[in-house]
Amino acid sequence: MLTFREMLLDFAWFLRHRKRYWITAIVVACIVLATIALLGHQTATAPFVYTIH
Amino acid sequence: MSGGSGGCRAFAWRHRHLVYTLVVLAAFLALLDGIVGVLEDRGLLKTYRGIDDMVHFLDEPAFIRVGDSYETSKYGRFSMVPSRFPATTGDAWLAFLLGESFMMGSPYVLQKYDEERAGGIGSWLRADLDALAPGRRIDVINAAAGGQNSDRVRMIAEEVVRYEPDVLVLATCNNEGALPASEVVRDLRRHGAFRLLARLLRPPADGAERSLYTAQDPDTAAVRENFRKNVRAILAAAAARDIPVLVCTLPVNLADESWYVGHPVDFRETMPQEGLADQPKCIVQAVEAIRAERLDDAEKALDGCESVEALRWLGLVQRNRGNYDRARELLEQYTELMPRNRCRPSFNSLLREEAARAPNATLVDLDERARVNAPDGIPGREIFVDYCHLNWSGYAMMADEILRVLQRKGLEPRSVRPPDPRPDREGLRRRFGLPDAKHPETFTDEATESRAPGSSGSCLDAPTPRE
Repeated sequence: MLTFREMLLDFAWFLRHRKRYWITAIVVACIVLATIALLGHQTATAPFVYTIH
Repeated sequence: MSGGSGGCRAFAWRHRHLVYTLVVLAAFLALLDGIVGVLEDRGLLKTYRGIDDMVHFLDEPAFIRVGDSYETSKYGRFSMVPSRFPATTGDAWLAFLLGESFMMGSPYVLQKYDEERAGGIGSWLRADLDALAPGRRIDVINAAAGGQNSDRVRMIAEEVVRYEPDVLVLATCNNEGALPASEVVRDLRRHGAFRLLARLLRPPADGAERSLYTAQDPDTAAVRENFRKNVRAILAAAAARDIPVLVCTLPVNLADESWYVGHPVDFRETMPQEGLADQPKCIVQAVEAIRAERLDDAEKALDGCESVEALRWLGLVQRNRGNYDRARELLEQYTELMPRNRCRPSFNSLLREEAARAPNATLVDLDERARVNAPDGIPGREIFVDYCHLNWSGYAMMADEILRVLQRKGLEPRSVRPPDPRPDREGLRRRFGLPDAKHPETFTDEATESRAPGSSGSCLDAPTPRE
């Protein structure tokens, strides 16, 4: 069982030496969100009149 | 043994790093969300896609508590007129008007104005109820919003039932056509980072990209079922708190001849034009013949014409011939296929069915009221200023009908004092400063602008809620 201090050090080591892991996760999350925003975001385009009303 | 222990350590290590990865990811998204929120609050960044996000998303509360009142939030103000009502109603009588621009009172009442101007259903109803229960506080809150469909009306209804109103008046149907976004998208939209991404990837449409009317999903059955689902959800939300709902059908301008949006205010030159010239030859010939009162030639031109527009012009030919029942039938068929921001007849039927089905609902048949009022049973220019909005006398007529049903059901406010005489419409019109004539040609934006100095004028460049 790691102590809290050991865990912080481990986390710092992870951030520094395992960039691939968390950068990949961020990139994948961004791609997933972008896909949802692009494909799943079925917003209706308001007709022209609504910009006046 | 040592191999097993090493395997366990590797397993724990991998799990730990998975947790670390998730922590970093969550921190990144939270940080991004926070930064976007701060920049948005400071007006340095826009994440909303303007009015396009107002069709069927309610991202923030429409009303917020300020002291001992609720008032329309900054977000709500983007699509609604400003309102205020007491947080604790006590003896006050509270009603919410729910719906779209029709219920809001366009073109007299627009969200761009700094106050709710007179002319819409709300103003007539308010005056009548004040006279009915003198000395009692009456709050008729105009919670209708221009441009939205029943998805968003439902969300607003689900919010306002929490304020325990005495009654809800629901009039939604004119803007149906789009299917709702998924629950996942709705949840994600609460986050500024997601809205920013959506805005970047799908920027708001400019004028030239917009259709004049609500784009229609080809799956009309799904649109109808979604509409039914929303109406039922509104009725259920109200029923859960014992709140009665007046369910209004919407009057339809069956005689609408416009090609363009038909707005009486002079914005036409800035609008994309859809005209007769874009129509098939048979329609062009028929319209010219109708205008020259050559009805036989018009019918001949429409015979075998494969455009859906033929239904409309055949209906108008029949109307000109005095065959009103046949004309109405054809014009209703046309409206069913080409709603153009009007309530499809089948959707009005659905509203009647749902009003009959729910114990807390009562039907207010505004569609029927408009039909009875029309000299030939085909509602048109006598009350409409365009395809779906009414002139002030039309809105007053609709308020009369709502009041009649309120009284019939015993839902109207009562006071210990005897009622004052009901204000006459002409007196109210003068008090409201409404133009004398009822026809759209005499309605000008300037006439209403002059009653609200400092209003923002045209909102062609619609601001985002956080601006």
